[in-house]
Amino acid sequence: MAAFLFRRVLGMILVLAVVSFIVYLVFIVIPGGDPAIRIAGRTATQANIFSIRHKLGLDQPFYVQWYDMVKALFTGTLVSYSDQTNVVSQIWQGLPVTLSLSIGAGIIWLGFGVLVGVIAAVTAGKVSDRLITVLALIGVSMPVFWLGILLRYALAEQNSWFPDGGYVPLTQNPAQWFYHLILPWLTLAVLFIGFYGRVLRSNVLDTINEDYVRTAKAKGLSPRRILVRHVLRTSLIPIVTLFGLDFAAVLGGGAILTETVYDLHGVGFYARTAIGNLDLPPLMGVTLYGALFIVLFSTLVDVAYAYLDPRIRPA
Amino acid sequence: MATTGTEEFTLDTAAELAAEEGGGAAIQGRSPWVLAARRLRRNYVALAFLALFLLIVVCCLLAPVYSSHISGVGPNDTNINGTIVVNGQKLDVVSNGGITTLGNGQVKVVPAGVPIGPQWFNAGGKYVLGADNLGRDLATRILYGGENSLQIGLASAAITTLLSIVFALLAGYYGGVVDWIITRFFDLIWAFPVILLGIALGTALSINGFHHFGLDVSGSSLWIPTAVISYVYIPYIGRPLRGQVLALREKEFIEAAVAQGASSARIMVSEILPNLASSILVLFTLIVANTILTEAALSFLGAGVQPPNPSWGTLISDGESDIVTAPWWSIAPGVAIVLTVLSLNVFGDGLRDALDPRAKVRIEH
Amino acid sequence: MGAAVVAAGLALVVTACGGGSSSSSASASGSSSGSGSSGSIASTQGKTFPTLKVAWGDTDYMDPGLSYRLESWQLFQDVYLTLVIKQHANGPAGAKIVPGLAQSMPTVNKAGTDYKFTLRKGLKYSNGTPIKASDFEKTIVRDFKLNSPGIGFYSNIVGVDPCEKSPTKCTSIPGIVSNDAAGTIEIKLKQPESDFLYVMSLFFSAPVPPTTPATPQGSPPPPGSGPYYIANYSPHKSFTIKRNPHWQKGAIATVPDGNPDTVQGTILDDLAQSAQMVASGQADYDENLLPSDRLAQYQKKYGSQIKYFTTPSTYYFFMNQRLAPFNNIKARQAVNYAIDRNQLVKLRGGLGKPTQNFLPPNYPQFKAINYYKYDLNKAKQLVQQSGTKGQAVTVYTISDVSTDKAIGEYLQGVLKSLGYKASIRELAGGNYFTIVGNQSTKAQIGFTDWYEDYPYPTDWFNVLLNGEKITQIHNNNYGNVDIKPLNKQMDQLAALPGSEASSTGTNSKWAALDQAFVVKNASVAPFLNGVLTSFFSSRMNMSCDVFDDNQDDFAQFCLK
Repeated sequence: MAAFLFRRVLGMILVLAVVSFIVYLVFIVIPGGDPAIRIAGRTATQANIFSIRHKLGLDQPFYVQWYDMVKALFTGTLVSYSDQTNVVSQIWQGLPVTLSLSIGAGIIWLGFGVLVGVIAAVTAGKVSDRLITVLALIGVSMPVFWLGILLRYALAEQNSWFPDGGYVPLTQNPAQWFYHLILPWLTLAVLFIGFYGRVLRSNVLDTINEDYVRTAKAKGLSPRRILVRHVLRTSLIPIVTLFGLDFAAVLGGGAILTETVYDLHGVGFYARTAIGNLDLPPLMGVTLYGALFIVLFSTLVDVAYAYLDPRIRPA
Repeated sequence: MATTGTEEFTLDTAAELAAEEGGGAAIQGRSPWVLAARRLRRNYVALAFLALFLLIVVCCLLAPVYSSHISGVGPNDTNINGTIVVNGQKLDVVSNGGITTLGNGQVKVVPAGVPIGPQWFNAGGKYVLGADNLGRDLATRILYGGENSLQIGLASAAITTLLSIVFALLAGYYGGVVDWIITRFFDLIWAFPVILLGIALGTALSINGFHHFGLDVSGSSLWIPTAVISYVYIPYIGRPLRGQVLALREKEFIEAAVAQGASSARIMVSEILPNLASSILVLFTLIVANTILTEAALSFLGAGVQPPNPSWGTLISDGESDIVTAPWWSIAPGVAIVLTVLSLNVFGDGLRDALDPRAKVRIEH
Repeated sequence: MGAAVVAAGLALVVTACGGGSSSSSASASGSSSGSGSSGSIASTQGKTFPTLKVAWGDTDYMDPGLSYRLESWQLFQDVYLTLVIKQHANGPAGAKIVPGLAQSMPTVNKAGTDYKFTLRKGLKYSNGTPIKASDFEKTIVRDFKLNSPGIGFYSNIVGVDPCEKSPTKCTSIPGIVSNDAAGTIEIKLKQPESDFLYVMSLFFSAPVPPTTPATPQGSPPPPGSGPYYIANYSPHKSFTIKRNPHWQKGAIATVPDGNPDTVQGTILDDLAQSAQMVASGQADYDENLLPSDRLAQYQKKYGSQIKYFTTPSTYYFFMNQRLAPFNNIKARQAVNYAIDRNQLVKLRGGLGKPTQNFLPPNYPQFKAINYYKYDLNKAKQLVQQSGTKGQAVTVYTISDVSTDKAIGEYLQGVLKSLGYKASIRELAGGNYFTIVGNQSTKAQIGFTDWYEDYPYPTDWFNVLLNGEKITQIHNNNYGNVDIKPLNKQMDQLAALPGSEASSTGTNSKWAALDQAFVVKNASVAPFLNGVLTSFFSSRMNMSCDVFDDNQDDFAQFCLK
């Protein structure tokens, strides 16, 4: 196990390094993206532009720039080009929002996904199964931002049943926090509920046909017991994998669309603003932060997988 | 629990269909493709949705016909000070307002600029789905936009599938260092959230296009979102295929081919590839649904299709800021996306049940 | 939604605001601290109240040395005082320069190259440090060290060259002579400069304590010198403004002591949300624009709580005079005839005032131009005559501000109907001006807007249309307008001594310049002046609102 973890961590660091380098390369090729010109303002003098370029290290070879930037990121001194705010502290500031959004949505989509999947499997072929299947398919076919715009329009703008976007910190007012997040949670969860429900349904149906379930049936165990003890346990394993990866992606800035539509200033929103300003340092920060989560969670998932399914043990 | 076989409404219960055919004797001696076609033919829902998808494609391809014979305007023809006649009534295409000076820098404003809503067929084919703030015909724009969205969705799915096949074959067949490099490459792409990677690449490339390595792509070219989307989805197909190749590599018939001295390329193409075909077909269908959604998301964030080309995503994004006064502007293109993606998902499911029940695509947004 | 975008659009073009400067601004010997007499500052007697909550647009910095956005400047007007300030008054009076930290208007030598200011006595920053004469020079030096976007304004000060050459190594500016004991600050100019006092009223010139590090300050921002200070600032989130404990009531007659004790600001770039906060009573004032799609709805429901103001901003199309087809005057005239300015206003939901002038209204130099009556046929004839019909033209516009995008697409449609092969390129606002301002882009025509830095025409003609200022990479003269006699004329007007800056004769010369560019040469195609909304909660007394050159003055807000 230790060797396995060690290899994963090593791979993780390698992946992160390459990820950051790619982001860097993509952005140094942008023509007209010279941040010095923008910082110097509209009455800029040539000397001031050179001076800013020098200050930002933009006159260095690109690999030196990359190294400096990554170093600054890890020492927590990296600042944005557009307003010179500290990138790490801005990410920290966005984190409660993103965490609130993703944890809440995660609970909803995992809970409902499992519920829906099990109901559909147990009632396979019946009306409830068909209804769930149809809804799940529609759910996975909707662009998440469109659903968000629609919900916000119908429930917050046409009728003031929900707040019209925005975020209230949990520490400030828990009730308002909850109230403000209901729509974003639902928006983000819908797609996953549909997807998880469908995956779980087919997993359960597949498992039911496996030998050991048949054996259990033959031994005369109650159907409920078989379902919970044998079928669900096996069927949930792929769901755990999926959840780990999806949750990491959402946490790592993948909820950018939901955050944009509901004006939630989380990490994804920060990334979006940075891209709009062609502001490389925050983008670098968010990308690495996101990659970190994803790599971390995929490692965790592997570990959990090994724990849940005794048939698989990492070498 | 696996139930009543003859139900036609079975979207992804391959087990049921298999059980139904499970007589055994009938299967022997038939090509798996024939069997699959038989299974698919019985899945009316999947076929109906395939028809829907084809209908959407045809409609979008016929956009120029709609434009010249029904709406009478092109997708970018503005008509902000125009009027139309509906049921004998003259209506402004975009509402007028006014401004009065009150002095001291203060003015009084009468809000303006609200576009006309859906007229269905009351205005002789004009503004069937309403107008946008420049008085452009939304239905026409949706059809033209659909052409772009579908083109990007299909092309990027094709490219990503093709690349994935190559990578999966190389990795799975050669193993060792090749496999290690390719797997790390998959990990690398996998490590980014799709949308984040997509908008970073899309934004950077759409500013001035791409003019390196002998390629000359302008910033507003549809090839930029196509390439970006193809790239981000590689591991989503590449990983499952690699697994299959790895498994196949151990099979006796491959070893036999190796023993007979067949070249590696030959083995990959004529021995392994045919065994992947059914998975590839299923994965392709399902990935198209995802690429269309991704295109919409990127365009919505301004990192996908660049103007003057409309796409479903840019239309939603344009309409968003006027959602209160002109909700149709965002809603209509969204409905088009849902129908298209839904039809692909349903058909893809049916195809999977018929061909390869194990193929799955992880989705993200 | 669409939100950040609108605010950013304006701010790109940068800051400040106002009406016309009513003459006397640069009057030679001090017009005395007066201006209290102009009665612009309402008495704060009995109007104070504990907390004002505001919804504010996003901004760049809360550091007077760096901030170049309206959202910050609007707050700074009661926090960071300059030697001379723009009067806190409504309408054109709001552009009048009056004494601020200086006890009176400066003494100026006859040539207009030597300004002597005398500081008021006993002033202190909000941290208790006395304000000294030498702080001014140190502040300008700090601007250089910060690579501040404002340093371009100081190039006419004697001895500034080494600092311009290597800004971060700047240590002193010989042309600024201060005497802490006497409280005098003398500024020597290389040549007379008609807009110098306006430059002195920019917040880049607002003294900060000499110990303020030459790095961006934000948490907290530098101590204030006015009636308030920014106690707390969390970028893109919130700010708190409190009374300067060392401010003496009535210390400066031209500066309000202020009614609210504390201002709590929530920074929002979502217009809908910002408006919602005021509508629901969670905030008292919405600094953001009302969302255009909800304008009618809000007007119906909260009509008496909304005010509209025209701003000193002009939206215009630049036309590149170095490239075909717009090197042909007939083609440029055609554009001016073919754009329907009323329709362009519609694209902003009505929040605009049609114009044909380059200068904004409210300036005393403004003389309305009424020359281009919308006439598409005439425009088509002109294109025909110019022989440019059928040429390929690419329109440039901003993609992430929905109204700017629509305006660009409108222009594309117009050019098509004129017979050009018109295409469009839309770029994100973040780098639009950098790309369009790069000669290698070869932008033929496109959208641009300008919001004044200070209320004087030099900030318009000399920055935007002076052929001598055309540069290769960070060009502001997007159309490469270069008309030798007009260049000379504006140079002369800019080099007038301050005392003549706003004389009737000078004003009409500026107006003639406006006429020459827009009518005679069709150098640009101006189409509208921006209109802003001020939305107050029901507990606020609308009559207290003063919309000065830095927009609504929060210090003067009062309750019903």
